[in-house]
Amino acid sequence: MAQRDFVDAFNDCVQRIAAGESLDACLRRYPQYAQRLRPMLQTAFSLRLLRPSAAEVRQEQELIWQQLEQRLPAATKTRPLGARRRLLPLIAALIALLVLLTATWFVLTRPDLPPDELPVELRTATPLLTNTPTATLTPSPVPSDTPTATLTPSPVPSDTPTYTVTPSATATETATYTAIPTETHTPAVTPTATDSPSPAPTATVTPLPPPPTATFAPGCGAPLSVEDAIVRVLEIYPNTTIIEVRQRERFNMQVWEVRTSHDIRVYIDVACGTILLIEDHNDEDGDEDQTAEVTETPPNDPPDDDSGGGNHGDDGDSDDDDDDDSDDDGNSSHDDDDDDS
Amino acid sequence: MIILILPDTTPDMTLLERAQQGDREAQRAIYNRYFEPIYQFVRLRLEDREQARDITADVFLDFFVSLRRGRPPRKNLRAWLFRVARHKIYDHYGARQRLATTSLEEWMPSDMADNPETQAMQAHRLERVRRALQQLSEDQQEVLVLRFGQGLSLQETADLMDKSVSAVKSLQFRATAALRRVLGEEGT
Repeated sequence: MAQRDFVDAFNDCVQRIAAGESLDACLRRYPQYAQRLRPMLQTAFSLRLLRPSAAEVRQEQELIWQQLEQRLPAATKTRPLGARRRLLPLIAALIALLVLLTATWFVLTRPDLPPDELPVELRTATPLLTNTPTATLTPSPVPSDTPTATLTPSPVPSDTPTYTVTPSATATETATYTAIPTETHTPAVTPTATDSPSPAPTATVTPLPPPPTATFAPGCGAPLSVEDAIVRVLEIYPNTTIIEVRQRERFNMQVWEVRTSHDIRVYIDVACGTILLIEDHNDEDGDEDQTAEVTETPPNDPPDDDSGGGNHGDDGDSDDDDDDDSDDDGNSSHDDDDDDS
Repeated sequence: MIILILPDTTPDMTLLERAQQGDREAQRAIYNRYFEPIYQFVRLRLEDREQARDITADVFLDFFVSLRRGRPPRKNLRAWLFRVARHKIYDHYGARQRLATTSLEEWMPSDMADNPETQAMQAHRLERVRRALQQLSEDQQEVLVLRFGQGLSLQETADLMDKSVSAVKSLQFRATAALRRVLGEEGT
């Protein structure tokens, strides 16, 4: 207890002397410890004398200041706080802009975006006819200048032929399918998801730009989809097989050219669903296709007379050479004038 | 009668704000105010004068850089400077760096006659104190140098040494008693 009091007396005197009280004055507060406190306090405060000479301090002070001015010339030119505060909004805006640009770039360059919308569009077609071909649409990731689709009959009962339509087109090209309104369609083709490839013969569906949105004719309700075109042909030729369907320009309009296993080609107006022309390429003489002019009109709207009328002999397609898909058949040298009428 | 005053300078925040805004005179004023205690503290821990110069320059360089970056010490400038100096000494020479063992002549104040404390202090006694101080533990040396040699307050010393105020009180008593004991042994 006495030692504790002595320690407290020592610390108290240290504080008082540091605050300006004299050593003797503090010792008078603790007369019982004065004899022990005095040498301790003198020893402790004598440490103040342990310091370099004043001359050394002055020399070093000036020398170090010169070093500081050389090492940090801008240290004495610190930017005022107000200037920094004024820059804060600008810095924040730049950061926000950078973040926005980065996000935009990331979204635009995402490789995992859907390659095309074609399968989605075609799958949304509402099946109505049960005993009609079933089509499975499988997008092909292979880019192609000429978007094509493969129509593959599946090995199912003969009454219900199943087709696998495998379009291969770029995302841009297949985007033309998305413009096809499907809510008004009643396709007989039942889209089903088929993973197993069909070993059956393969037909090619060749939809071509321009986009069907441009094929809306005045008064026509909706453009004809590929399924609708197939259905219409199968209604006329129920015992045939669709070999190829492609969209092309004829008669100054977009048409579906549906080719059957009997080498019959049916041209249907995409805009209104009008069957414009039926060509029979099974003609024995082979030099002139049997062409049937069809005046059928869809129930909702009459066809465009400018393209639907007349005998549209199209001998340019008689060679079945589909390699020239990119070259519009309507512009081939041996197409008749009806193409341009 | 001996009157000893321990300075306990409160940070001049106005001066600090002026220095932060680029006021050259304020910067120089801060430097002049705190150079001597920092240099003495460093010099007491290092044997070499040039080393002490480099360390002290680094301490103030850090201070001016902090001003430039808008992060000056907010609370206690003196304690901040001492803390930086202490860390730099430890970084460069390790925590076991003992007191300098330079000759007494380098440490004898040139103006001893004007100093009232020295009237009761003989030159040979100063040398004895220095030697005795070197025999103490690191903590004891440091608390004596900071509290009595540089006049830091209890709180400043506690902050600097990462100890409580009561711990510093106990430590400074034990250190003083130990110093007295060593001096007594040397005197016998």
